[in-house]
Parts: sequence; structure tokens; C-alpha cells
Amino acid sequence: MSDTKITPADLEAILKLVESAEHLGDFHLKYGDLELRVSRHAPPPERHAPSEAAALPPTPPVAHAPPPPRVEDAPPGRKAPSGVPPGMAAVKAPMVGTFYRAPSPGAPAFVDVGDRVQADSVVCIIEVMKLMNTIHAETAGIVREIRVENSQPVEFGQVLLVIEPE
Amino acid sequence: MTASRSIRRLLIANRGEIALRILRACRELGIETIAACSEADRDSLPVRLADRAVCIGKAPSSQSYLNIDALVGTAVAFGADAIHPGYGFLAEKPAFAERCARENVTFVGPTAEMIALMGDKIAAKRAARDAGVPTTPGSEGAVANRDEIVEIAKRIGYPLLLKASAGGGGRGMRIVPRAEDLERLLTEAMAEAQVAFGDPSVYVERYLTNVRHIEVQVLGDGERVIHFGERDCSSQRRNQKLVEEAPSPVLDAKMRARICEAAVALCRRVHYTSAGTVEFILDQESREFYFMEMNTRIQVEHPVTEMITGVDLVKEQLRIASGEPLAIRQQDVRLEGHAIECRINAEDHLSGFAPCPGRVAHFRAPGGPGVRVDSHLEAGYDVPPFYDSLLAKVICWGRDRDEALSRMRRALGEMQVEGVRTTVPFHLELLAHERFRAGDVNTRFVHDVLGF
Repeated sequence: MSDTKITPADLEAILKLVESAEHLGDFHLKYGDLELRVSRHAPPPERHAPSEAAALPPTPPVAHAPPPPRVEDAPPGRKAPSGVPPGMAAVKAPMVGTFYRAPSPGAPAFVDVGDRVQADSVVCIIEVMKLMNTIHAETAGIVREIRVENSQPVEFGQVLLVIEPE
Repeated sequence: MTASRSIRRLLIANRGEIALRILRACRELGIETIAACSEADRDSLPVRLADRAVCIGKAPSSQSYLNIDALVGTAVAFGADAIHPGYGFLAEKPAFAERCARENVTFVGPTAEMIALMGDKIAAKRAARDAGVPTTPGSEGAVANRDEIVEIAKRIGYPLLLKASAGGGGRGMRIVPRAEDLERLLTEAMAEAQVAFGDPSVYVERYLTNVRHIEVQVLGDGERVIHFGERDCSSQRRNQKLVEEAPSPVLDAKMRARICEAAVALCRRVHYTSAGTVEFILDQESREFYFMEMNTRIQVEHPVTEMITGVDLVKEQLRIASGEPLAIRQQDVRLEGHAIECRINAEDHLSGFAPCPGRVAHFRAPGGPGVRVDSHLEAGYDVPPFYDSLLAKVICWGRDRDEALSRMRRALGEMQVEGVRTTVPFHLELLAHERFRAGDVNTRFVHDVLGF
């Protein structure tokens, strides 16, 4: 077996296969001297209010509304910081709302920096009009950054967490 | 009406030139602004000028400017105490006003109930009749009985319009030119209505062809209602207004007073609160006017009225929403000079007014005496394909109509938009037409005479 050589054509065929596979995040191939690692992290798919939200207790995670942010602090017309380091995966807000790190006030946070998460791990909640939307990691890996403070409002597409895929 | 609820921070739930217009009014009143924007509008002028911008969703309006949850959710999460809906999008959706009320966010507009009332054509017409405002001669509702229809037809005269009650798409619709055509066309209309909508009943209305579109600007605080004269919006194409002017070239003082008083009577009867516009058609044959509908929002063409009255209607609308009573009295409202507005759209008038999205490479705005430009346009702006094509409103004021028209021709000559086609050439053609210059147009003029 190991005396068979992988030709450039073979490589191309493998890459094509990886590319066409819908649910493939990472691909790792070791064959003789050749080591091939393909990491493909598409931005998280668009999500609507997930149905689990309905199953959550109806009480909001905090008893009192967070104080509104001081508008003056924000530079005019600023864009949401959207840059993530290469190779990292971003968890972006699929909707505008209020970001919560824990299921209820005083409860431990869903995740902290350094935690290992699975694609289906809940990493935070975004509350819109008292409707709680659980947000999943979508990528298995290590949480490297949490970019939003608890109970702060977030806009659509804003980067919430940065995950290093593994 | 609740007591004073002053607005400190306002969410602008709209885009383009009207978002900028609202922002300017807020800034003059010391109100902080949050611009809600879609992904497509992140770099637009109102978004950059706002105190804060919040992206609320993707470019298609169904996922952004029409998303009630996202907009009201943004107001709540970012601490806005009011929402201005602008025009279009959610401005006249009762559910939006209702949701705002439920979340304790001031909706800059009338109540959900008022929006619903005026949004229901039959209920609105009934309200107008109850207020003594003339409505188009015709049946009070849909009629299924043939003999009854013949009776009504005899009373209101010809030509007539028959319209299926469930209506739409021109099916079950017939124009009856003379009495001898009624039998045949009524049979057709009722049969078509039955097949298309499962209901043979039809409305009967006087069919008016030589009409002008006249509308009256009002402000109401729930107690008092005042008017700001009329606007004449007869230059239209497929019910889309192209040019608006004030005052109307065809109303004398007596007629103006009658139409404006009719608008006020309707608003007073329903205790209208906010800025609004009562639309009428004026039949140029009989010189009679009839109520058409009421718009419960600030309108695109409001600057025309601002130019001849000197009143900032958006600021007044915000003051009313804050619970302040009207500070202006009717006798303070003076109509001075003449104003005209041309809507500059990113459209190719030679290709059926097809929208022309794309990048604006260069923009030169007109200026000088009596010229106002309300626009979010700037060089490098990408006209997105997702929304309406209004790029700019050029409004010119003159001491009289002739001066206003000369200024408009001069201003449009100065204006330059490179990269996308605009309706500027169309407007120059319209302005040059002898009949337009004489004020001799009706709502079919652009189609029948100019051929568009």
C-alpha cells in the first residue's frame, strides 16, 4: 500500500471531495510522507429563534433591565468589530438583542475562556423582547475570547465569541 | 393622551433620505439618535451621522426594516424611548405601533387603532361621510342585487366603475361609459367576480377621468387639529407620485378653504394625533372634490409644505409624540410663495422606469437660492437593489409658481449623478411641457400626453 504514490491528480480529487462534503468541518489525512489538513469553518448558518427557547423558564435571566448603554461612548456610525484571527471561528449574533452569558443571574456562565465546547454546546443567550434564544458554538474547539460583557445589547452579525477549532 | 413623555433617545426605523430627515429633526431638538440599519446600509450617510448605528439584519427588508421584533427589540435593548417609522415599511402597520405601545416605547405616529381605521378603506370612507366630508358618489358597500345596482347607477350617472368587492388584478372590473352598456357590462363583471372570488357582488362608483390629486397636510394633538394647506400631486405614473407642488395651481381661496376644512373635520372627528395627510380627488369637470384616503404618516412630499409654511413638520410630529400640545395656531399658519418637489429616482424612464441600482461614481448637488435637497446620496454610494429607488428630493421655492419652476429647471441642470441613471431627464422634459407650465394637468397626463 505505502508504495503507491499520491499523484497531484489524486490530491485534487480528494480536495474536491472534501469541498463537496456538506457537513465536514475538519479533514485530516496522513499517508506516508504526506500530511493533509483541511479546516473548513463556514460562518454559522442563519438561525431563527430556536425552538428550545420556548422550553426555557419564562423569567428573564436578570430581574431588572440592564441600564441602557451610554450612546456618547460609541463612536458615530461605528461598525461592529468583526475581525477574527485567521484559523479562528467566530460565533456571531444571529439577531439583535441583549447578550447573556448565563441562564439566570448568579448562575455559572455557559462558557468561560479556555473551556472546550462541542458544536452543539450552548455558549450564550440573546434575549429579544423577553424571548430567550440559545446560541450554539457551531464549532467544536476551545473558547479563546468572549467579546461582549454580560447583559450588553448586541447587533446583528456582531462577534460574540471566538473559538479555536480543534 | 398620556402626560408628557419626553423623548431622549430615538430609534430611526427606516433608511435613506427619510432616515436622514428624521435624524436632522432629532438633532435640532437635542434627541439622541440610533439608526437601525440592514447589512446593505451599514456605510450609508444616515448610519454614519447617527449617534449610534445598530445593524438589525440582512439586506432584504423582510429581515430588517420590516422585522417588528428586531426593531422594537433594538429599541428596548439599546435604551431608545421612541421609534420613528418614517414612511413605507412599517409606518402604517397597526401591529408595529401596538408592539411599541406594549413595550412602552413611544411610536412617533398615531395609535394602532387610528392606523387600522384609516387603513381600512371602507371604514375610512364611512368616517369621512360621518364627518360630512364628500366621498366619491357610489354604493355604500358591495352590492349583489342587480336591480339595486341599476338603481344606484341611475342616481350617480355615467361613466361608472364596477369593481368586484373582493377585487384585485382588474378582474371583475368594468368601466361603463353609457347607460345602454350597463346590462351587458354588469353581467360580465358579476360573472367574473363570481368565478374569480366566489362572490358576485360589486361596488358601483362614479368613474372620474379628468381628476387632480389634492392632499391636505394636518397636525393633530388629540385636542386640536390644524391644516397647512394643500399639495397638488397630479403628476403621477401608475399611482406613483413624481412631482408635487403647493399651493395647487387650480384652487382658489374659497375652494382651498373648503378642502382644508373638510380634512380638518375628519381629523377632528376621529381625534387624530400626529402628522397626517388627507387625500382627495378633484374632478375638474364638476369642480367637486371627494375624499380618497388618509395617510397616517409623514409623507415623502412633506418638504413642499415646509417650504411654503416655514414649519418643520417632523419636529412638530416629534413634539406631539412627546405629549406636547400643538404650539401653532391655525391663524399662525401662512402660505407663502410656491414650492415644487421633483423625486429623483435611480430609474431609467426610457425603459419603463426600470430601477437602476449600482455605484454612484460622482454626485453634484444643486444649490443656490430657494433650493433644498433632501438626500442620502454621496459619491461612492452603492444604490442597493433591495429597496425603493428614491435617491433625492429636490425642492424649489419661489415667490410664485413661475419662479419656483425656473429654479427647478436651473437646479436640475446643475445636478449631476454619474454611475446610475436617474429620472432627472424625465423631470426636465415634464417641466418643459407647455401644459405642465400652465398647470393644466390631471393624473393621466404623464401617461396620456408624455407617453410614459
